[in-house]
Amino acid sequence: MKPYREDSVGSMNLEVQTQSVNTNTAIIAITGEMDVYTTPQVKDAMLALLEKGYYHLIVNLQQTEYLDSTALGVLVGTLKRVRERGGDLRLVAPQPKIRRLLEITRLIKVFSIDATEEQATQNLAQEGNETE
Amino acid sequence: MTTWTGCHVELRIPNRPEFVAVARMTVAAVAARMHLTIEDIEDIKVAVGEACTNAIQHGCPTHAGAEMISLQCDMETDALVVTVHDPGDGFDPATATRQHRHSAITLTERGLGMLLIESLMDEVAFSSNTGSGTEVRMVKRVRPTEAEERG
Repeated sequence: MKPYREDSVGSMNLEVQTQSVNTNTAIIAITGEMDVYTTPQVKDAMLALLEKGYYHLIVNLQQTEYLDSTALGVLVGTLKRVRERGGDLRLVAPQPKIRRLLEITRLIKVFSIDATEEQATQNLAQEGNETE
Repeated sequence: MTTWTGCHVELRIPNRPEFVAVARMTVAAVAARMHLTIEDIEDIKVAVGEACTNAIQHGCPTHAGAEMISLQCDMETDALVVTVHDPGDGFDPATATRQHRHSAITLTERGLGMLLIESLMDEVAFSSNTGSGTEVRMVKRVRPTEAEERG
């Protein structure tokens, strides 16, 4: 399994990198600040992956320094979309300050959170096997 | 009496998303001047970001860039008071805050934003009247840092 960097877009405060893991799983790594100005870049990247048939998404938040309600709204919206298609969206390694926001909004119970991309990949594969 | 007591910082930003980060950074700098903890500064950044986002998205969306959003920081002895005002049409804050009772996944972005503001700040007051805009007043109290507590 050799992931490749499919795309990398970014502005001053945000960089979004996507890479394919397999035919239906992709990783989105978000570096920087996700707010009302920058989040549309993340949304576009996620929609592009959905259009290509990636319904199992891993969102790596390890390098995400800031996240607001706009970002949470996009994550929730994407989660709904992938689940409608039998997929899932898992978060990886959110920093404590981001995890706190997930707890306050109770979205911590909505998202599955893994420590590493590898763990998320394994869990997504396991979910796929269970639903087959 | 501290050196910052009574100081007052004002900022006016265009009604455009790219300026929310400017508001966040300004308030964070003011809070740092008051020696608030890193955690409290993060809380303030999120709350102010949400208040400005609300103002931009709902305050006067039909005139993007034309209206200004004002942000006021009052540095009091024991608290930082931040007030965000937009000149838009106003809304009913009670309707938005009632959304908290719903499941998190069904909350709108505004509902999530209001929830974050109310959770992260020590005191929050919304005032909004049709035609006169919306004002959010947020208070973060200054807590002694660990170093100060140790004496």
